[in-house]
Formats: sequence, C-alpha cells, structure tokens
Amino acid sequence: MDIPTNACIRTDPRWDKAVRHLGYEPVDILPENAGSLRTDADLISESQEKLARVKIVPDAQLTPRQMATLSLIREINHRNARVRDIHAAEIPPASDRVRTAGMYGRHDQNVYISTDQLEAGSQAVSTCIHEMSHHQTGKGDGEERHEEVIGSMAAAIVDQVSRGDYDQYLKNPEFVW
Amino acid sequence: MTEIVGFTLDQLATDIEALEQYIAGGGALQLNICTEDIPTEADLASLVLNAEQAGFAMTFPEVSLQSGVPTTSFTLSGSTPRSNYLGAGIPTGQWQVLIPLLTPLATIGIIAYGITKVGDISKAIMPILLVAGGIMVVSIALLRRPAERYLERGGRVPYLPSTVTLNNIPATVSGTKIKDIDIPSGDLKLSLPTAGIWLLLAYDDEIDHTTKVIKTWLISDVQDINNNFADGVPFSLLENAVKKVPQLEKVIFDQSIETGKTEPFLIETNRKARKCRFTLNGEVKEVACYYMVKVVKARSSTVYGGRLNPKEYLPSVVDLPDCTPLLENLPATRQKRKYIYALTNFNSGYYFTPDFSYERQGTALDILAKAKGAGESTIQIWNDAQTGYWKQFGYKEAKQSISIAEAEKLLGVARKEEVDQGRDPDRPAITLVEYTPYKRIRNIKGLYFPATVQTEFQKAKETWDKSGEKERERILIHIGYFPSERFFDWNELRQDRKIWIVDYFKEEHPGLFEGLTPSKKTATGYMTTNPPSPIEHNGLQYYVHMTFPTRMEAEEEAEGLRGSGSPSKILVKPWEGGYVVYEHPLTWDEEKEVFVPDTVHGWMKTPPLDFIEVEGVVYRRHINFPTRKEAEEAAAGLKHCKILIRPWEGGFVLYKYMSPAVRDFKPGEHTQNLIESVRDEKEAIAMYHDFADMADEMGDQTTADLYRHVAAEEEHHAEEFGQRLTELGGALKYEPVTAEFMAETIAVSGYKDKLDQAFQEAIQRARG
Repeated sequence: MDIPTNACIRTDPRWDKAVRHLGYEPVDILPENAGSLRTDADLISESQEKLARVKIVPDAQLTPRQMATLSLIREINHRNARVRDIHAAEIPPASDRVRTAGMYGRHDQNVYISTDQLEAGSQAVSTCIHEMSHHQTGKGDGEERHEEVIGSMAAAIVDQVSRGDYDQYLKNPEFVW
Repeated sequence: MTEIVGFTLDQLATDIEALEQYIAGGGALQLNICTEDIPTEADLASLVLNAEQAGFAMTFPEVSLQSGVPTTSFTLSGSTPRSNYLGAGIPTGQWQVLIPLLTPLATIGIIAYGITKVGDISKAIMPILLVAGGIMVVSIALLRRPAERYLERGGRVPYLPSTVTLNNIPATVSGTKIKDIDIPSGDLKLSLPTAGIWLLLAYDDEIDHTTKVIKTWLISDVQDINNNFADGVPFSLLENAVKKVPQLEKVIFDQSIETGKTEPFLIETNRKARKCRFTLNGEVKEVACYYMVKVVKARSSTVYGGRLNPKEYLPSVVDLPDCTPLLENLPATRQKRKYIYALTNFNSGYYFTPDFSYERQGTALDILAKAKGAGESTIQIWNDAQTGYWKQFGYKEAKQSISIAEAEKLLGVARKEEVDQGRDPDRPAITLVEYTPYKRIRNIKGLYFPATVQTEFQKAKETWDKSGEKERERILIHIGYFPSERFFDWNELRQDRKIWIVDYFKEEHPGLFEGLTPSKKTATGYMTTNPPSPIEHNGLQYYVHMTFPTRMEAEEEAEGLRGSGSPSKILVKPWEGGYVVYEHPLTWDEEKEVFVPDTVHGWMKTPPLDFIEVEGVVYRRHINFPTRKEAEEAAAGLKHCKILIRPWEGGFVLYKYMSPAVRDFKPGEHTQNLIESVRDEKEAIAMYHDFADMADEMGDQTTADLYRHVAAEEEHHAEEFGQRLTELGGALKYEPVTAEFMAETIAVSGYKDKLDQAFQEAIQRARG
C-alpha cells in the first residue's frame, strides 16, 4: 500500500474529517508498519494544545481595514448567531501542515478570526459563517448538520445584504470585500 | 391536614387510594414509614428509581431515627403518577402502583406508616414539616409496638462502633482475651508495669452509634492481670460496683433475662452473654453488652475490649504459651510462605517482608532493573520457597547479597521454570529486595532469620534471656505466616511489645491448632455501613478520610498524611472489622496566623438545609463554600438560575432556584418523544422556550416557569457537555478552520458566488 506523505494512523473514523482539516490523511495501518507516523488522536491532541495558546488582538491594535471588517462580521453575528463575541486574534497553526484562519471556542463560545483574514471581507465573512455554524449547531467540522447550517446561514446573510442591512458598514471606504 | 396511620402494606394500599381523592386538585402526600431497621442507600435508590419509572414524582427519601425508630420520609407530588405531563387531567386509581415499589422497605419490616396530606408541595419539602410528620407517625408506631420491640433490637444490632472514649483517652478495642502478659510459663515473659486495671461495662447506643459506658470499675485489689482474666471476673465484683452507682439501680446480665436466674458474669466463660438489663434513672433498658478492660500502664493507656455478640468478632490472636506446641511441631521444611521474624532493637533498623517487597517495589524484574539503573553492583535476594533455587545453586542462606549479574542469571532460571510450569514468568518464586524504602516506611530495623522456626525461636529466646529487663521491653518477636489477610495489628505491637501469633495455616496443619483459640478473620473486607463522621476526639471534630481493611494499611495512610506537611490531625479508628483514617482538617489563616479548621474539607458541623423558601420561591442547595467570595464566584457562573447565598455554620451555601414543579418535573411520554426526536441540543432548548411561551399564552405561569427553567438548565448543561466531550475525545474544545477548508465548505454550500455578488452590489449601492 502506498502511504501518502501526509498520512496519519487512523484510530477512530470519527477523527477523519478533523485530521483532514489539519492537512493529514488518515490511513488504516498496522502499528508495526506505521514507522514514525502519528495517530489521528495525537494530531488532534497536539492541535488542541496549540490552539489553546490563541492571543486576542485588541481592537485598538487593528488597522482601519481590519477594524472595518471586524465591525461588519460582528454585526453579522449579532443578527444571525450571537456567539459571545468575535475577536481578532493571532491563532497558532492547527498543525504543521496548515495555517488557521479562524476558530470557535466551545468552552467560551467566542469566535476568533485571524488578523490576516480581516484584510478582506470575503475571507472574514466566510470564516465567520463557518465558525458561527459551530456555535449554532454544536457540531464539528464535516458533520452534516454543521454543513447544513453553513448553507442556511449564508443564504440568510445574502438576503440581509441585499436588503441593505449592512450598508452602513459597507460604505466605509476602509472596507474591502 | 389529613392524616392516616396504618401498620401493614395492605392497609397502606387502601389508605393511599382513599387519600388520593383529597389531592386530586393538587397538593402532595407526605409518607412516613417506620421500619424495623434502617434502610440502606441501595434500598432507597431502588425505591426512588422504581417510583420514577412508574411516573411518581417524589422527593428523595430521608431516613432519620425518631425515638429510636428508623423512619423513612418522602413526599409524593399530588399530580403523579403522570403518563403525560402536558396532558390534561390527573390519572387516578394508580396510587396502588406505589405499594409494590415499597418492597425494599417491606423487606426490612414495616412497623407503621403515616400519610399526611399537605396542601402545597413547596411546604411539603420543608424539613420542619418532615420532622413534625415523622414524630407523629413514630409516636403512634411506638404505641402499637411496645418499647421492648425496639430495645430488643439492641441485642442484634449487626454493626457497632469498636471504639470507646473514656476520659478522653482513645480506646482501641482489639480483642476478647487479655492473657498474654506476665504469663509464668517458663518461656518468654513480658513485663508490663501496671498501675491499675479497670473493667468497663458498656453498650452501644443504636441511636447515635456511640458506645455508652454504663460503669467502670477499678479492680485495684487485683494486681495479677493474668489470673483475673483466666478465671473471669467474679459477679460479686460487679454487683458491689453497681451498688455504688446511685442512679444505676440494678443490673441483670445475660441468661438471667430469659430464665430469671441470676448467673455469675464471667468474662471468660460468659461469652454467650448478649444482653444485660439495667435500670437507669427509672428507665429499664435492655441492651447488648460489652465488657472492656482498661489496663493502665506506666506510660500509656489502652483499652481492650470485646463484644459479646456477635461471635464473628473473635480476635485472630492466641497467646504465646499456647503456641509452643505449634512451634515444636512445625514441619522442618516450610511450605509456601511462612516466616519467622525476630525484630530486635525495635526503634532502629530494617524491617521487611517479602510481601511488601513484591507489592511495593514491583516484580523481581522491576527491582533488578531499578537496581541496575541506580548503578548498584549488588542486590539482596532470597528464595521464596526455601527449597528451590538456593539449593541448586549451593546457597545455604535464604538471604544473601549477590552481584547484579548473578541475580540476572538466577532470575533467568526462575523465569524459565515458571514458564515450564505454565505460570507467569513475571512472578517467579524468587524475590529481590531493596532495603532502603523500608527505612522510610517504618524506620525499624529487624533481623530476618531464614532458618527453621524452631531454631529461630530458640535464637529469639536466647536473645531475650540475655537482654536486660529494660531491653526486653524493646524486643518484639513476631511469628507470622504470609500471606495473611489480617497481617497483624501494628498499633498493638508498637504499643505493647507483646508476643503475638498472627494467623496461621489452619487448613494446612489442622492438628497443630488443637486446643488453641480458633481464629476468625476480622479484618477481611470492608465495612458494610459507613463509619461515623464526624467523630469527636479530644474536643476536635474528625472526619472520615479513607477506610481500610487492615490497620496496617490505615496506619500507612496515616503516616503518609502526617508526613505530607499538612497540619491536619490524623486518627485511626477501627470500624466493623476494618479501620478508618480520620482527619481533623486544618488550614493556615494568613491574617490571624493560626491554624483554623478547614471548612473546605471539614465543612459545616451539620448539613445545611437542602431547600429553603424565600418569598414563595423554593431554592435548592447547590454547593457549599468556605467563603462568601467563592460562593459568589460560583454564582457568577450560573447565568440562568436564581441564586441565593446563605451563611451556614462558618461556611456559605449556594442555593439555586428550583420550583417544586421543576423539581418534580418528569416529561411525559409525548414530551419525551418530542424532545428525543429533536436531536439537536440547541433546538431542544429552543423548543423548551417555545413551550414556555405557549404556556404563557395559555396563562399557565407554573408550566411556563418550568420550561424556562428546564431550558436554562439545558443551556448550562450544554456548556458542561461540550467540555466533557472534549475530555472524552468526543468533541474538540476548539474548532479551528483553515482558509482552504473554510473556502471549501462555503463553496460546497453553493453560496460563495451569491455572497460575492450580494456584497459587491451592496458596496456599490452603499457608496453611491
């Protein structure tokens, strides 16, 4: 069997989507053939430890463009999900193969958006919708309900944008889609 | 208030049905059931679970002793049993379902019961009412069943505390026979400076589970302990003593109760005695009796005692002279693991047993690896079976220091043999021993004599004979066999320097034990009832820390606690064949710079009220805290509940709002199906809110409050659930998304383009 370079040992199919999220491909492999491959559980555990070191970037330290984007997605949250708050943040990479765009903290019900995602509204809104759907559903990545809510929430936001609900944020010249 | 009293389950079935009509419009029934004995927690749990399954909403039963009668009290909501909470109307004719659910109590033996109709369930759960109802029922129960019924039960209380406090001297009840002191057998003698001997007559008070000492007698005219207890204490001695106690009018012992004939009360021969009847302050009591003997020594006091009943509590000890034939007849080749120890120079040196080495230091493999890792060049080794490996390698001593390489070789042979025999090679019949840990554990040096029992016994005697009188008090000879479930009573050894034979292989050599006191294992297994907590000792409250089957283990735990740097005071007490480590917790008060009772661990002296009512709202106890600050911090985390913080005996109690309806709420089948059909937790919560709104519209404020509270609870649980799932690996605490994955999911949703288009149009529109 050809083992992909980004393989990890599958210990539980439940983790498949989560580890793919981290840039790894779970494979069924006997431990004696696994060599130095890590398990999916190890990867996730390491990822969680890294993510716990997230640092919130205070609003005052954001650029006008980042602040404009953050204001918009906070309003989107207020109208659609009501997570406790959305913070700009320096989020550690979730694994050595990916960078982290955003994060939802189950324990504090906050959404953290990477500051580089705030440079463009399209990235930030998409990230926001993804994370708010975690809050709405309580489900993890790849779970059907989570994906359903992403779709329905995106549809709602399209309607709201078309109605002009966010115009006051969009007219800010600092905002870039 | 409607009250019905009865005595049998059949009557209860009728009565409860009759009462049902009175509460058709609401309210609650309070049931008080008097039983022969105290129901166990399992009984109560079984009752509650069964009742809940049958649709009853009931409070968790409270058991209390009312005038000595175990009384189980609980409250049933009038609107139960429910099949559908949302459904209209209250089902009737179903209360008889309750009767078979009371089987756990019926098994114990129902004496009487009382049903009280109370108008409002919120009042019903107030403790004061429970107490009032309980007294009412019990008083009637007592009328029905004469007091003798209960007093007799004192003779068969199965478990009684094995402690007694007399003049603040901690008492250790340890045996039924004290005859191993100053025995003129020509063999070993132990000299015990004796200032006096006391005899105590005591009984256990089943109400508060304390030992009540009826009378103590100083046997000052008898100095020879051995003679006294070999022949028993003359009854006249007791009779005369009784006369000296003005309020104690008469004492009748044992068989005399049945036969009317007064028999001498001899400790040694009257072991069958179970009861004594005495009149105290005009009240006749008939109780189980103890005798206790307090030997007052020069430097310490120890109370010995024993219960006359049950017999299972006979001790596992025999005295040394009786064991001489045992020693002489022991086979020269020892079987299995039998050892003789002569521990000399009691306060310094090594002490070890092979069992300890095995349990505490791991297998021989572990020990060897550890020794190698530590760079040791030699290791102590002995053969477990005496006849095996040592002979084939030419060793004559059972214990010897050998090189690591040699030990590895021996171990290899031993392991191979275990494999050949089909046994576990990791448990070879060879033991490698490190000595160092035992310095820490016991700080005792000992010598291990691995030769035959007779030889070593002789050596021990010679050592004894050569020693001076002062030195003898420090000499301990312990003859034991391992493994022993009841190792030995370390405390007694430590205190008394006596000679004990602890356990033996009765099955293996039955003939050796003819004429000896039969041994019953007293320390196997744990207690079947909880030891009392807190207990008072020297004016301090001690709380149960842990329980152990043997005193050895309890003492080890106590040593660990004492050596942990904690200022808490530690006490070891026997209880029902096991031993309890008690702790009087103390913490350092930085402001006052003194040690103060640790209310975090010690808590309040009495449990705070479980429910309190303020302005018509019933609050349920949530958590106790030592300080108001901690209680308020915890309260801040409870977002959806009404909170009340009340002081209680030096601490603070955090109460949560819990309306009676909520407390007793059990979703009906229809509701349950609805809830279960909505698997999504958030939607379930939203559904509860919807139900609340619907109830509001219908003007049903109680139901609305109920659902809002359930929703709040669920939201609170949802947070905890997420964290718990994280711990279990079932869900992640953080849900990260990469830019790539995020883009992919939005694209999959099919709204990526629509979002782009909508925002770009909106931007153009907004910016004119």
